[in-house]
Amino acid sequence: MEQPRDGVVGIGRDRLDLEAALELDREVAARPGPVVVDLTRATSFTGAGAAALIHLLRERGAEVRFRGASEDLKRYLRELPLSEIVAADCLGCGIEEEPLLATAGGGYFELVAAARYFVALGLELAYWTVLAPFRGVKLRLGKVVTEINRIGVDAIPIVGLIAALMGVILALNSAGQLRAYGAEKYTANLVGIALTRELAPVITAILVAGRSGSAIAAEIATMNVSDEVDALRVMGINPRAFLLVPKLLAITLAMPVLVVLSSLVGIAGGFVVAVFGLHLPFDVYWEQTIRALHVQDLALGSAKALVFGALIGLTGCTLGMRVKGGATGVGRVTTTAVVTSYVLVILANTFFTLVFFMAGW
Amino acid sequence: MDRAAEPVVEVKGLRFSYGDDRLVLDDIDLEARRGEIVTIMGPSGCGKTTLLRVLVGLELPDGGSVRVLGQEVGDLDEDTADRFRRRVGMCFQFGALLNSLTVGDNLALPLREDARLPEDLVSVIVRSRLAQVGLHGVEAKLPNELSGGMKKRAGLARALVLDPEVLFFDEPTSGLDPVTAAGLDRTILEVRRRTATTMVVVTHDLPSAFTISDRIVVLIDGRIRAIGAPKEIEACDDPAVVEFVRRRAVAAASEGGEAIIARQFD
Repeated sequence: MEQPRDGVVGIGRDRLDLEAALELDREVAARPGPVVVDLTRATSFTGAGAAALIHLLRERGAEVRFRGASEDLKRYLRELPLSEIVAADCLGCGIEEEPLLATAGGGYFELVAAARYFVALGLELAYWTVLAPFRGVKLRLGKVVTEINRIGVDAIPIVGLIAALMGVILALNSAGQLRAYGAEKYTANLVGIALTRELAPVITAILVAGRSGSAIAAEIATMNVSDEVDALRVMGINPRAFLLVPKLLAITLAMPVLVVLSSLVGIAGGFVVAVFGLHLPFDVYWEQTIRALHVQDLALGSAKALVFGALIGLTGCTLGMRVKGGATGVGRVTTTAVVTSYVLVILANTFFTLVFFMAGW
Repeated sequence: MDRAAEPVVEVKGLRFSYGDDRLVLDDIDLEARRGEIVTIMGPSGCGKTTLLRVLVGLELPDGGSVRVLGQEVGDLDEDTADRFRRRVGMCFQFGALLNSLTVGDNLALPLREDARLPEDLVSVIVRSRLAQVGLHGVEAKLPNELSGGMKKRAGLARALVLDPEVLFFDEPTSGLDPVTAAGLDRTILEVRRRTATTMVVVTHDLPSAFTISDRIVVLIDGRIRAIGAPKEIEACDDPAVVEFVRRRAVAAASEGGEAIIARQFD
């Protein structure tokens, strides 16, 4: 069929690359109706240039014809699933493609599955701490000690610093309020009780979740995505016993120690401020602290810490083992591990406080 | 039954999907006899690695039976599974060495699980296994300090360390230069010659498959298209197998594409 002369668009270069193709595209777009694209000048082409021709086919359909295309270009186009590409929809915008409800639905199933894993792992932790030693099963004590060093000993400086500052803040605030009633000496009671029963366990748990809960999740997730966990399984080494239990035991044991330490350092912080800043008599503060604090308070704080430690560890391990995807997945579970730990710790703390309150402890 | 003809790996009617409706593996039947090297070959994404993961029990099949060393892999409880897996070795595509341990400790790991082995014997076994795959003086190195080829060799050494009765390989030569790949093929054949270990190898490396295999299984789109000795596979006339084996360009053009070119290109 003869084409009218004004419907012909010629390529301006020897090479059909993206630039040349875009120029063609603009010229073709400027001409409504049937168009012939003359490719005679183009002796070579690039993949992007050829793709732009397919784009023209999509846009203009039967209105566009090509002439002078090299055999090479035709062969290249033949080897592509051309009709599929021409007919295909746009790709959408990649990663965030999933509809909201599907994500939420998938999230629900994943939550249920993760919760089951969490509980199973909790039972396994109980088995390893309570039953296994009596059954002669080898516990990897060396690994537990290494983990206690990482999770507990290495955290002492930061936990101590934060605890001391919490003591200072508490002492300053409570002294300010109590002064109005001439009851400044009760600053000691407030600092002591608030720290040992509530603040030290919660603040330490938050620090440990940020420091070690995230590290546990990231380490295990990375091992999962690089097949290391599967390699353990195939070697007949139970990854839970080998990898998770030492970390869980370490974090569960380290937490109470950290909490006792942080309570003591916090009280010392309050003491320094009260005695040297607010000029409360040394012996009065000391006596009030001793009178207000009972071993029971430290024990309750430590019991909480034990549970918080287990919760943080179980969260990190569960999420690390259930990672999906590569580096993105590792990042996601690390963040989720920290946030979930915070929520669980605060929930558990509320529960404890309620129970202790009702029991009159 | 003759011991040599005894199937070590026996798969019947295997089906597998990743939770959605799409079957990744459908109606797979295959077996590997004692001392045999069976290669599962096919284009990327055809389900090879999934099949291998089902064979070692890392994934559970939706249907059918998978027996390895006479054990139904899907039915193993945890304790039996751990014991069973110590009779089986697997080489992962990227070695899957534990990055926090030295190469030596990686190899020693499964050995140390057996409390009867004294540490000096462990160290001798580790060194001799590394030497067997051509690695010397790397015991104290971390996996990240090794090249890709060395990692694969170390992975093979780790898989060999417990003298497995069956060895599974996931793409042993992918990402290696031809010389290193040929070296690894020789190592695999050497190990088989000396130990008569049964091996199941997943690969898309044709030269390697034709060098090492006693039998080749061609897997395309989750189904077996051909099984046979390398010569039989070369002579096979199934178009999909021919296309893959003779490395033809990926299926040209649906007919519609051809029509577009005929209609709109002068």
